Amino acid sequence: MFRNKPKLAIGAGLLLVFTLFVGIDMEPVLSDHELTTVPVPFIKRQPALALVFSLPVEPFRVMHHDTDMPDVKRLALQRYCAVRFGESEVDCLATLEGRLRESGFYKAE
Amino acid sequence: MSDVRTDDLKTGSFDTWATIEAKRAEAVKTVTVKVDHKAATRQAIIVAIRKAGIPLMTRSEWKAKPSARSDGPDWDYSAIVIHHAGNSYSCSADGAELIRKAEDTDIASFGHISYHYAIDCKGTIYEALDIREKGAHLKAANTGKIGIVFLSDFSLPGEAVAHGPSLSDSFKRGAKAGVAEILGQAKDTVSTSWDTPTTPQLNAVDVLVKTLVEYFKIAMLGGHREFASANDQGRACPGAHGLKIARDLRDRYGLDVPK
Repeated sequence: MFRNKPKLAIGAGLLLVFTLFVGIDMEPVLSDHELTTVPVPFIKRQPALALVFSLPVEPFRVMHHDTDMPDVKRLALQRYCAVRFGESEVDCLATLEGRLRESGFYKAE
Repeated sequence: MSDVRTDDLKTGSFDTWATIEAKRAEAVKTVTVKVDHKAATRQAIIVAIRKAGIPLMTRSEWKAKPSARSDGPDWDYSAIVIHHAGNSYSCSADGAELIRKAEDTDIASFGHISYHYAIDCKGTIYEALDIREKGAHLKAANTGKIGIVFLSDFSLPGEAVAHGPSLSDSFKRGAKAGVAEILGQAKDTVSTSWDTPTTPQLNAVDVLVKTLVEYFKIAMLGGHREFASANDQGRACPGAHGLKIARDLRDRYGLDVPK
């Protein structure tokens, strides 16, 4: 049992490093009027303990760069953007809009 | 005041009909009433549908959630687009539950419900988006188009593969879109249940289209797939059953195919 201790410690350390720097983003996809999510693994731009992430605001707020977002949502989006893309809110909204367009989201015109 | 019917036109002065009417209006203190013709038309459509015996729930009656944003006004409608709500919808569920589900999806995606009217399997019409507002039921081409959705799954197994976006096109948009399309096509291919249009649904859409054609200069009607194909996009919606409904309505009301 004692002989396995170093291995366990290394394993736990690797798991911690993996958790700190690798995440899974459940990205929204709009297909034929239905909203689903697809898991997308990613390297975190800032260490964080959470493993599973999702866009913290509704996709329409990203598509239309909503400036009247409630503060709670804005803060959550800023945290998500920092970990997911290492970007400020403005740059992140542009990145996210591109990703949402790829995933079937669109504007009415 | 003179009267054109009795005055001697050769010698006396006289008032025109317009002047007489203006003087009369002044005398009886006429009040000008402004009528919002768009609101009145919305109401007239609701009344006409109910008068034809079709149950209709207005937005306030089914307690629609307020929109988070608007895509702006729209009014001069020239086309009607028929949709089905998708593979996860079924006539075994309650209509009120399904309209709420469509509302939640659309508010998250567009900030407002995307269709103007929804029809459940019992033939109840739900006023979805106010007819004075622009819809979001087509990709980037909604101006002048009324969206009607059946709260049903009208596509047969394999339609997503045959008519949806191709895998190569989806992967061109990105790996995520490709994976989502593969999952969607797999789900559609192994699907063992779908809905066939019910008689109350067919009666409801017939009355709805007949009414809309009376109030707007509608020239074109088609399924979502037909409008998407006209723009080089693939779509399974509104499924084989939905497309047949669109063809029948076009024939009945002399409307054109989407171009």
